[in-house]
Amino acid sequence: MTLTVAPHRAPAAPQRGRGWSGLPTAGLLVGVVLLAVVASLLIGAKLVSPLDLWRDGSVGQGIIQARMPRTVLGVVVGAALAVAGGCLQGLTRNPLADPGLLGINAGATFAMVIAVSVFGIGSLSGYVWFAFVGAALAMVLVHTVAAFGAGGATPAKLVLAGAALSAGVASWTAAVLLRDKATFDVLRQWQVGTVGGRGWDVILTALPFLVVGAVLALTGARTLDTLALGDDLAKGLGRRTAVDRVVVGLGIVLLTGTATALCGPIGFVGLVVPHMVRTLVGSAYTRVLPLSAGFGAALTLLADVVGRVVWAPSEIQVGVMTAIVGVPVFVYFLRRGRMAGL
Amino acid sequence: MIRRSLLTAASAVLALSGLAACSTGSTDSADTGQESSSKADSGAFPVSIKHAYGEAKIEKEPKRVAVVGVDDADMLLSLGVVPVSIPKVTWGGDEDGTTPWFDDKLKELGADQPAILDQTDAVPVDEVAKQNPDLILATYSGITKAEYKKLSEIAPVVAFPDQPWATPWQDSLEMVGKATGRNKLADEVEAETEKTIETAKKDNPEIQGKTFVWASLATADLSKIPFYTTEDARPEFLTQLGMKNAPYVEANTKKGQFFTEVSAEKASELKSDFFFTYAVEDKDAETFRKDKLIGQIPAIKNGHMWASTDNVASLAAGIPTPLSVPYAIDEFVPGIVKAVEGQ
Repeated sequence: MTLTVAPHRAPAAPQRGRGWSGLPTAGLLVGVVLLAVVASLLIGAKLVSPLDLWRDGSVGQGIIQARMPRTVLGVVVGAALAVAGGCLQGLTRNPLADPGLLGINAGATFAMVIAVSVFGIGSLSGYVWFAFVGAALAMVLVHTVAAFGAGGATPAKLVLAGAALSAGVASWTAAVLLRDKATFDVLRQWQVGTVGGRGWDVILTALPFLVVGAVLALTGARTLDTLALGDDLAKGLGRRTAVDRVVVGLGIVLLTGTATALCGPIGFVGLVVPHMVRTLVGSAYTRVLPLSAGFGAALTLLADVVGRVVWAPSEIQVGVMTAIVGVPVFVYFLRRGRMAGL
Repeated sequence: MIRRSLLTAASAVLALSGLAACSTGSTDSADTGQESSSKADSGAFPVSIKHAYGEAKIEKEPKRVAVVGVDDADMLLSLGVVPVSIPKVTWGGDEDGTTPWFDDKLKELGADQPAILDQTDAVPVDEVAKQNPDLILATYSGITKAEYKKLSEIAPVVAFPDQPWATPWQDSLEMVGKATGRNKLADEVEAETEKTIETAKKDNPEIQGKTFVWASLATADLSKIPFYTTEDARPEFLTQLGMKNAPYVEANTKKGQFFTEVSAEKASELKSDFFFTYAVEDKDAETFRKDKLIGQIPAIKNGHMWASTDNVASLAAGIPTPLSVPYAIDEFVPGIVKAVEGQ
């Protein structure tokens, strides 16, 4: 990886994959994320003065304190989804892969519905675990089904198995919900995808899973670059592709499973952010994944901030806003150049 | 172009498949309607009743009344008429999908349980048709124009008078009374119910004039405060008992909206003496209290919240009827009193 020193002015429409070397881009991203964090702490349905943070017992202090976990959650979940999405696209070599594709969201949703309906668990801190286990089981099941037959778990078979499982599990979920209105009410709140209203306790419990997932996914970047050459070539280079897939897959499950359990399904980020990053730095995963993390965090957080103010005094959940805010950004990147291949 | 028409066709097919709603569990329809314990007023028929979708013309006294609306079954029973079918109560009902106050009245009348139809998905038009009704009631409901049209082919339908889900119980009762030719009895039942509420008002001086918010907080998303507006039947029951809608709720009620939500960051502005919310588990109350934002709601801060997990009582108060009001006064009002007094 050679780094070119960027000029001290904004580069004029650089070509794809060149001119935007890693370091300045990373610096820029860190800046954007920091800006988003500040905005997330200061902007909301109710205007508060930043000074309130030091006024004990004031309403403003409570509001800023409540925005803190929300901000942290936006950063980690946005980053997790974007990285997992990038990994999935590499693993399945399918540009349309997103965390919803492999049945992860469907599994998490179904497990959560079972938790509420059968076990009578009514609170987030309780069913978060079910959602997580459901996501993991779905992924394992998809991988097992895809591994049948010749050639093992090929990308195409993974996608097929994921789509089939999603459809099947979604119908089970619907069956439970039709019989149980109380569960439907709980699910309705969770299914939109939100980073608001979660306390530190839930976030801190989930953090280790996210960290392990991120380590597995980011260290898998080289693996993905090799897999991108095709299985035969990768094997020829001495990679054990099956083991590689399981390791990266585990990272994906940890990231998306935890993110989905925490916030409900948030779409768009995992699908689109890696593509945006590829238009900047090309398709090497060693660069795509870390930058996706920053991009995902910034996009999710900004989407949440916009969702807080466009419809005041109510809020629009981030699961809705990521797409609304994300589409124009995505179009801008598309216009800058052709999508990088996988 | 070709692709576009294909897409249109595909979406049409999808929409159609969504229409093919399923229906569940019906019992065999009896051949005859059940005996009524009351008589229609003389000269009550023919009668026509105006509602949001048109007019129901009823030629002679109905003998087989099917209920599609949510509170119509209670109205009918309070007039001594037993329906042939009722919608399943999926929230706040018992195992069979009926409410205790409905079952008690049924026992008192010595009648059998009508067919219970599951309407979770949509109104099961086929199941209703199987009951062979000569009148269909939906005065407190949200039936769509399409559902109304289908049902009208079976029998005259009395839909809601103005907005869906916004019919005061008195209006429901009056419409049901008219449709069954029991106008006098309906007036009597209404007077009696009003008297019951008056008595409850006298018996509970501590809640008079107190402001309230009727919310529906969810631990799944504490970033917002969903609440019912002054247009809804739920707050109406509490105002009848002498309480007042919170000023914030009044200021944020828009015409035709029975339910709205605000960001939890607005919590401190939701001033009221009493705060009611549904809850799933008993420990939810603690979750609401401890939350940095939700905990700033003045009534919660001051210990005047009631997070009720008793869905049956909440339903009785939330959809008041001549049958459910006494139950609500016994089971729901004491909870308000406790919270208002801050215990």
